[in-house]
Amino acid sequence: MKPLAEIFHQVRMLVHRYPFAAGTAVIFIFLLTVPACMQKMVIGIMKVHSTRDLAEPGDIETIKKQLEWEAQQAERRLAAFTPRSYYLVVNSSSNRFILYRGGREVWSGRCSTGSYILLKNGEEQQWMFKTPKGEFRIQGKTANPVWKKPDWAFVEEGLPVPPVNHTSRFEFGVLGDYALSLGDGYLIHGTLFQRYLGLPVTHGCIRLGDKDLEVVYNALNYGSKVYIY
Amino acid sequence: MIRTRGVRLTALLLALVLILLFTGGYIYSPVKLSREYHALAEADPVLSESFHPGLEQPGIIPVLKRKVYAQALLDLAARDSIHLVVDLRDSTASLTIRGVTISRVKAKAVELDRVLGMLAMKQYAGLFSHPVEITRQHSTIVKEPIVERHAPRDTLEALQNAYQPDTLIQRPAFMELRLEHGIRIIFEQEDNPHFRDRWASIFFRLNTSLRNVSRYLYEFFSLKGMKYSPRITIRMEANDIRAIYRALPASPHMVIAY
Repeated sequence: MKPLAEIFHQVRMLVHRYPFAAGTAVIFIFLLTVPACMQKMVIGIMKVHSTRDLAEPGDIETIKKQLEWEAQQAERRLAAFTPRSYYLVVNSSSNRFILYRGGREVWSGRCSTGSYILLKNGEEQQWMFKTPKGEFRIQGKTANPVWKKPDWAFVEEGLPVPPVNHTSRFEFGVLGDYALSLGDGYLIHGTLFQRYLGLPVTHGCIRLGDKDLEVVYNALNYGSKVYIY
Repeated sequence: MIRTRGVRLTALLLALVLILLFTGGYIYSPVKLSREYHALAEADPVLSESFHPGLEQPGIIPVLKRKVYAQALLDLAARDSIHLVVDLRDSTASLTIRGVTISRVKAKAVELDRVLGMLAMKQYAGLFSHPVEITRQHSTIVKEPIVERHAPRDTLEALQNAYQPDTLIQRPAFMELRLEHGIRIIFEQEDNPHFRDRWASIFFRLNTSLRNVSRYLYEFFSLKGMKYSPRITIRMEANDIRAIYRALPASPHMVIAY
């Protein structure tokens, strides 16, 4: 009881010394709590819309059949949007992919996507390494791909940037056994760094493990859809 | 002394009147919203003409909701980009792009605002037979976790500064989406095992309440009329919330069904 009395006394002293602040605090706490509680009470006693005596029983069956038919038509039209052949869905947030066929999951696994690194080379040049989101189509398929290194690949290693078709730009074996092109320089390819699968480490491309890449490469064709989110 | 006392009393009375008016407006706002939704449905000429009173019958409501949902999804499929679909009937949240569902996750728990649950079917159809625009997104998650790096001067510096991704530390996942017609959808992570998560949960809810009260205060003092904001709460895995938030573009739309 004594500590409580002391606390009460201290609070009274504070209120007496800072009346404006104390008043504001009381109003603030009141506005956060009391109106919301009273609002919930009002919502609790609001009437639910009544559904009695609105139509004849015979009409109801007709209406129901018509509605079911319309709903089925709409659902059929909706189902037509899903590709019947293989398509790939990539989750760049959790770095996982799923291969579908006609809406059913066929294969899944880990992948690596963009690292969200913004590489700055002075004031004039910068590159953002992120995997784009949206709907894409396979625009090319290559076995034993060769990587033609862009400028940022030299800049991030502290190397001087060579001329456009210099031999040092071409690297063999780093993209794995296969590569599928999504356009704008983005690829689905393999990797030498299998331990990094499941982590956001790439420069925008999507990296798959060897087995996963083989399955995806054999399933997808030119024009197959790839969805990235 | 008497003048000071008089001023204080007047200020106190004024504050009391304002608080009473504010509280009254706050309490009345759900009733006002319900009437607004009703007026919105009545003002739609197509809906008014095609809506048979028999559609309010309990036996027809599930079929009508199925049709409304399918219609809204067809509208959504005509739009570009990634959009969100929330179906409270089977507690799922999905991402779709051009009619293709690319992600579907199950929620652990859902809570629907009673004001939304009380809507007549005509009002429901008026509000949800088309995709609803998400006007604002607010979250504890970073949308794009950008890391800035400066180009190294030579290969030695490049080796010393080699980047190692650190994905062990993830922020708690809470998200609020504000839709047109004032509806709010709140996503909360289901598990809060650590003190940091529990604190983030408390702070997020406090922040949400503060924003709500601030909005009411702004509407009160700007004489715009206080608007109730119905709320749908969805609890799911933190990783799923992160994936949804990061996938949504700047101005997405969503379809709701319940």
